[in-house]
Amino acid sequence: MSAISRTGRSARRPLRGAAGWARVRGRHLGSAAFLTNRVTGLLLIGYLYLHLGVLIMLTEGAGSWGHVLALFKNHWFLGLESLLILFILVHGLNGLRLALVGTGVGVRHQRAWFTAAIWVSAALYVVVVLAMFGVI
Amino acid sequence: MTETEIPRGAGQVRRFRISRQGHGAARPRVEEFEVAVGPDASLLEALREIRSHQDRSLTLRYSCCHGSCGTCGMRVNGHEVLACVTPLASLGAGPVVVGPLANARVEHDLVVDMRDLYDHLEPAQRPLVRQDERLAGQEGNPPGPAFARYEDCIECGLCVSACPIAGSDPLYLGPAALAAAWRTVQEPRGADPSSVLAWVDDEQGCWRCHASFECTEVCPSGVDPAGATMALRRELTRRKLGQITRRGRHRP
Repeated sequence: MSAISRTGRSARRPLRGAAGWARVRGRHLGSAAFLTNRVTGLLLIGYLYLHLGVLIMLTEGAGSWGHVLALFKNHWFLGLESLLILFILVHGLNGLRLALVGTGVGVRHQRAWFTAAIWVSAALYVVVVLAMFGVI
Repeated sequence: MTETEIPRGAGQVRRFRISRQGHGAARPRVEEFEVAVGPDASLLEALREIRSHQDRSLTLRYSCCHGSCGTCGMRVNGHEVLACVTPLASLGAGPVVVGPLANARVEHDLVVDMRDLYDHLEPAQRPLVRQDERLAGQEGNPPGPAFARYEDCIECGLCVSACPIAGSDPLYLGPAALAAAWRTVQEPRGADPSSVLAWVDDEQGCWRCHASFECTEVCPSGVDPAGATMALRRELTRRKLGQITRRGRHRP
């Protein structure tokens, strides 16, 4: 077998960019998992900046603590916090699926793994929300 | 079958919205056609009917008409299909939206430039035809009649069209090439598959795949390019772990 040249790659393929990710029509469950991971990942990055913004409020001095704590107990903020948990669960469990499938483990069951990741995330999310709002 | 043999006017009238794009044109335009089709008509038969009797300039590519040659790949209602084996009855009752494969330069109308796919298959050693029906180490004639056994990939390019990464990274090798590479690694026929593994062990090789599995979903031949890509990763991981373990053992 002859050695392979790494220059054998052409670049004629037209670039569709991130628009190609969001093709929904005709796509299957694997694409839903692919898109879910990207969207939740971007939302988690967005939340990181929100989190840093809130923490910066604390630099205004000891008096700002009351303000920040009141914000943390606000129902809207708690709602956002619960969504953060949901994104972490979905992103984390789907990431675990990708890590396993990506190294050749359980590749044939990738659809079932994604479905399981979504159901487990949903179940844990319900428990977290109930705990956050003091129901349980 | 010649074009005059296509059954006409036997059943319902179907509407087609076809993407038209001249060579070098920046944007496609959509043209509508109506065709009377029989109950068992395929998409390719309808397109040939349009070309034969309504617009001779409609450009499409086809050859075998039974799903073996892989030349009539296109996108229909958002799905990558081979037109010759797609019954119109399976496409719902509404207008049939037809366009060229994605992630490839459009040559004309429904014909795309396949050179990118073919170029990437070459370094994968193009494992298309088995050199020998005998398994490695087996002696004597294999049972049954001798015949050339072809690999499953028909080089239709549906997998590349469906891949979200092939559209966002023009240097990505793509699912067809990776599937071919795995085929070579799986059955090297006495050769050393290391060069193929070194080729795919790259940022734009098997590690670039983001596991959307669309390639496997749309493959009309059951090649499972996504499974092949994951198998390449497993093999590379196994070899690298083996190297680390051996290095550790030899350390004084």
